[in-house]
Amino acid sequence: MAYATHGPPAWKMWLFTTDHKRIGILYMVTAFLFFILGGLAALTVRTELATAGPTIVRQSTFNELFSAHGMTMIFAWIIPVLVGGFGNYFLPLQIGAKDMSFPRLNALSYWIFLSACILLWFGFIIHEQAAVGWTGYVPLTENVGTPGVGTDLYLLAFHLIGLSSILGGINFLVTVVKERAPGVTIKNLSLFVWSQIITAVLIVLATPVVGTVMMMVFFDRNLGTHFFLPEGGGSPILYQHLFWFYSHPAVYVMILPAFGIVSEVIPRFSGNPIFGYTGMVLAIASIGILGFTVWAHHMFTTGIDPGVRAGFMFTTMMIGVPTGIKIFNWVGTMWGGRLRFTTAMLFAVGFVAMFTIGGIDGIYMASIPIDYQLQDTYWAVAHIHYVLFGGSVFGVFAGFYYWYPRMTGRMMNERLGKVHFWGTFIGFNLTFFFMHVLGLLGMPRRVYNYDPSLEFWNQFATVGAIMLGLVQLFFFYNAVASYYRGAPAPANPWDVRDSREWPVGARKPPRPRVPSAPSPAVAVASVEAVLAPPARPPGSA
Amino acid sequence: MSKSGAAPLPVWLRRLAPDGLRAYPMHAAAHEASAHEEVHDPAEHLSPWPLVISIGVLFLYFGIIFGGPVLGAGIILFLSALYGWITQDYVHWKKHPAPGHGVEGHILPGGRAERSRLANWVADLVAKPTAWWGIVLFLLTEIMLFGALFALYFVSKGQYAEFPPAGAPELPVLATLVNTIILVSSGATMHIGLIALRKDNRQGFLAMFAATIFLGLAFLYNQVTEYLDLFHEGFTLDSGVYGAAFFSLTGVHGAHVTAGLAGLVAVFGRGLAGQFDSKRHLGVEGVAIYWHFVDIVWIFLFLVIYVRVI
Repeated sequence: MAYATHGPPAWKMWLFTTDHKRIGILYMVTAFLFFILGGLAALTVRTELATAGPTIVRQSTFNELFSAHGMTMIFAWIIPVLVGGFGNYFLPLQIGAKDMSFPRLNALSYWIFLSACILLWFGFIIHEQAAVGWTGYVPLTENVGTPGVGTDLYLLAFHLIGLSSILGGINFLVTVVKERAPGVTIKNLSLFVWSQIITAVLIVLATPVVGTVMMMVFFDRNLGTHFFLPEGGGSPILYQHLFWFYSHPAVYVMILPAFGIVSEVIPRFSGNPIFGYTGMVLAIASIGILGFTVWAHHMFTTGIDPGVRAGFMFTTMMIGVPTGIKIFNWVGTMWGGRLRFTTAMLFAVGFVAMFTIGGIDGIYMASIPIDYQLQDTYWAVAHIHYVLFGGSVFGVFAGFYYWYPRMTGRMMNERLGKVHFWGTFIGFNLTFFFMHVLGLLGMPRRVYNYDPSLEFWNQFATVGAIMLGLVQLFFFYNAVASYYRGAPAPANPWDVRDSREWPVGARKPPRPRVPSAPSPAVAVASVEAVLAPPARPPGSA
Repeated sequence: MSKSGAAPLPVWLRRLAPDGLRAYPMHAAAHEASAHEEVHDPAEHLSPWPLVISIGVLFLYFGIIFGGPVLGAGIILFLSALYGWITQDYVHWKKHPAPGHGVEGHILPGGRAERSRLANWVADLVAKPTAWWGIVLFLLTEIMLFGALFALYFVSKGQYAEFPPAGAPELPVLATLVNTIILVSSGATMHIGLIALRKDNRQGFLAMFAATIFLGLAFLYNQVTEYLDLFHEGFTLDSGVYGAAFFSLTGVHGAHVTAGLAGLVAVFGRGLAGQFDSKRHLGVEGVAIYWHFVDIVWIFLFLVIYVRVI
């Protein structure tokens, strides 16, 4: 991708692009914008919860904000940044492909995703935002629950996001099958690529179901059908089954690419190759398969058949096994290595620790009797944030710090990065760890007012959330300022010897005024650096 | 930590994962392959149509919710962008005489002789054209879509002692059997046409595809007639969950038949214009896979909803 001064103007190059790297950047920038929006929504919610009574917003606004927070963080931030962003940019590079198999479909997937995001937030403009949580359970989403236009916007946004995901998923799978460079086989695909493959399989199999379900509810609301309305014989519980048939695999869509990123980062900064490559691949694959068999654990308290329930408890706990294998292997990779604690590595190690806590939380909830106590309490909020923030988002940051030089040709500031990491780590734990306590004390999630005796722990969480929010400013400043003023990145800043995107062969310059390709001597030197056997273990500088 | 590389792993750790410290092999060839990523001309790969289609879809969805002229604008924008997209495809098709691109079916290292039969079978599958893979995966998502609707049907059936409920009209099984035969024979005529095309018999290809289109239209016509009869008897989309299940399953299928017909007409038109021969007819193959899929789904629908085998 030569960013030459001749040729089409820049706006055209971005709006009409079908290049996988540009689309990846578009996805990432959009996702980070929605990360800010969703984060502001969360901060407002947390500030509201600082006191037991009404604090700063109305009840209806509160409901709209936590709903928008959930939808935005899942569908406009984590999935697009991990799959659309990093997946688009690095999957073709790592398999030696020129581009995706269907480049225009790739662009279509991005623009449809953006359209869906507009639908998702449009309600705030017309004061008709959906307030149905991110799960949109019936009958709340039916006309009897929320007759306004906001819920229609929610349903169609969800549907459209599903469409965008499906297009992307198909494209990823075909690309891996058809576009691999000679010599790239299933025996040497990187773990990041593996995680994207399994993610794409989950997307392709699960998303059509939720798209259909959203249309069914939409029909119920607007065409008088009774898909989920009991008075016509429909079953509201069926909605939950179909919804979680998608939405449980969707949590693996959110975490597997982060697994892939961490599996890239940890070996680089440990000086060891990944421990148990085959086991890692099998673990990702079995998480993907098991992920389709656990959905009803979200529904233990709905009164489904006890035998069925026990089966789902069993499969849910089974997921702990491959996940444990992965954690074990990351630790095995670090074992006895020469660890370099760059910001990317800090986030990756933080990921392993936080995700382990989140995973163990989940095992508690998988147990039916305990789930009866913890269902819909702050314990669930703590669990979901430990796996999705401490897991997925830490993974995003690890990948971002690690690949930033590859994407922009500049280094990020390490000192700011470390401030960002420690601030995020402490703020995150301050916010979410004591939600476990709140959950055990019985505080229900999604409430506007709560018992004044719980105020102490809630204020803890609010202070943590504000810290977590503020410290992200370091990140955004770092990411933007480094793009313009960061130190120029060498071709292989992390001394990576076994991945295809490093060293940068002939990279685009960060700004047009910089020559568009390195001198031949540099290119030759970097190729030689790849081909030469390492004189000493990578990382032992 | 020792300078001579990694400290040795404890024995128990090594036993648990014998390949633990072996790096996965990387090939220099792949590095070289990724170096060529930068050289292609970026201007060649620009397309306004993804953006325009998405704006069309956004307007369309706004129109569905709020009504009014934005709906019409959305439809027009969407369809014209779709036309632009296909035209761009066609221009590309004319410029590049070689069909598709793609790798040979390597998925495991080594040559055919040294691989197992399973590995070679997989390799043949991998060697199928890119478009084939795209369509097959797309159909997989379609199966899941119909799966959700079938789930609705079966769950309702399991929930009630009497399903379809009392008072639901008797479905015209015999007439639908005739219609099923019409649709299945359209699949047969299309396949004969495809075989003719593979043997460069373009006359036979065109005749058989014309027959297929005719049979497909006949199927749709009968379906619409049946709907009108049912409406007349007071059985509509809002007749409880049974009505919703019946009309959503058959209606979504009908939409797929319509889309398949659009594809058939497009392929037939291009055939009339003199395109396609035994070497180059990926579009025809794609439409054929889709049409077979629509056939097979209908057979399931017929057996489940009309005959009620389960």
